[in-house]
Amino acid sequence: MHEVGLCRSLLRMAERTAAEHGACRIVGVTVRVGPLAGVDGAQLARAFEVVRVGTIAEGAHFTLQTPPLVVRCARCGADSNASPGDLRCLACGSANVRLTSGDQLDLLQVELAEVENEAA
Amino acid sequence: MCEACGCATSGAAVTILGAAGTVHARPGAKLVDVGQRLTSDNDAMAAHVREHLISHGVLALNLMSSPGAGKTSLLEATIDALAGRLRVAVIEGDLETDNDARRIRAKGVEAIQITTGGACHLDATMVHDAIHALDLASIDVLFIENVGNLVCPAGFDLGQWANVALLSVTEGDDKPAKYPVLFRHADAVLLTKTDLLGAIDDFSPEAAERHVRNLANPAPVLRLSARRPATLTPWIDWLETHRERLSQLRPTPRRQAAELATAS
Repeated sequence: MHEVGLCRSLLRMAERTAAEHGACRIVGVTVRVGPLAGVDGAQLARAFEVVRVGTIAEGAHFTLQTPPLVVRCARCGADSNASPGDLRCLACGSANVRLTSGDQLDLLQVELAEVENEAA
Repeated sequence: MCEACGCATSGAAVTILGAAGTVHARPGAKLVDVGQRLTSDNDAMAAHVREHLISHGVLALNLMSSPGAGKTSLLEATIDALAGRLRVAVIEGDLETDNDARRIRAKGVEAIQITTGGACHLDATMVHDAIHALDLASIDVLFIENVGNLVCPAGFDLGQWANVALLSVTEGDDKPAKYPVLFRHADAVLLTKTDLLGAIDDFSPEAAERHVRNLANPAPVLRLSARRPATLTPWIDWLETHRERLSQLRPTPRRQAAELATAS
């Protein structure tokens, strides 16, 4: 449900980036959403299609990067691909782990239509 | 134009890259790195709210649970238990109605109602606006009762000191495994309505605690019933402990003066 709100903030961030670079059109965004972000990447993409209408990002391509869930065990040192509902180390079963990948919810890149700086 | 309904959104403009895909700029376009969390605007506002509350010595707690887990009942019982010890105010978040705020006000405690009008969670801006209506100098503990929902509130920092998650014994004891984003970041988990445990044979408090531990969360899991005031003691102790920690963090005028003296 909150994907639309997050997409509005995505759009604001992308528009800010475009303004900083003097670009008048956003042709693509790349977003990274981990399995523990609390957000569904596909729904985010769908919400973006709605939110971008009538903005400089209208028609922009949405690229979704889905990083894996990785925990590092403080007991045995192993890295493992634990599951979101059970983060215990797959090697030794310890719950003394630290999440090293999986909660990402980032705007990675914005793709801007080039403008002729010389013309300015 | 979308071929299905003729709307202006063009479908299927989505690429799913997996873990380490690379995007190449299209001709005539350039890629600019951003690398910021989508919640960064909210996070900045939350940091501002947190600093403001800590500087006023207010312990702010974000209460999260599914609808009906007993957040408001817990607050009513907690207000009674803290009477004469700590001064309380409440921010109530609900989709509609101010019923919960009226229950709190009936206890003689100030309550600000935020009606989100359909939004599924509170955000830092809503809390920021609400605290402007409070006299922070006359408050020790600020409870922020989030919208009843185990999904969306977890993603939004409100500027709280700590997160408190409630899980009632009439729900499944595996809720922490089903909603890891919320329970992973709980600083205290309260198993509520424990007076009903005798009538319920499929909720195991031990299993609920195990599911919290499996999320690598060492937070205390406290069992209580708002209808049995004696069971609230560990929760009240937890509140007092955090209130003490906050007051140590907050620079007192005397400590500030001492620091100024050593600096000069």
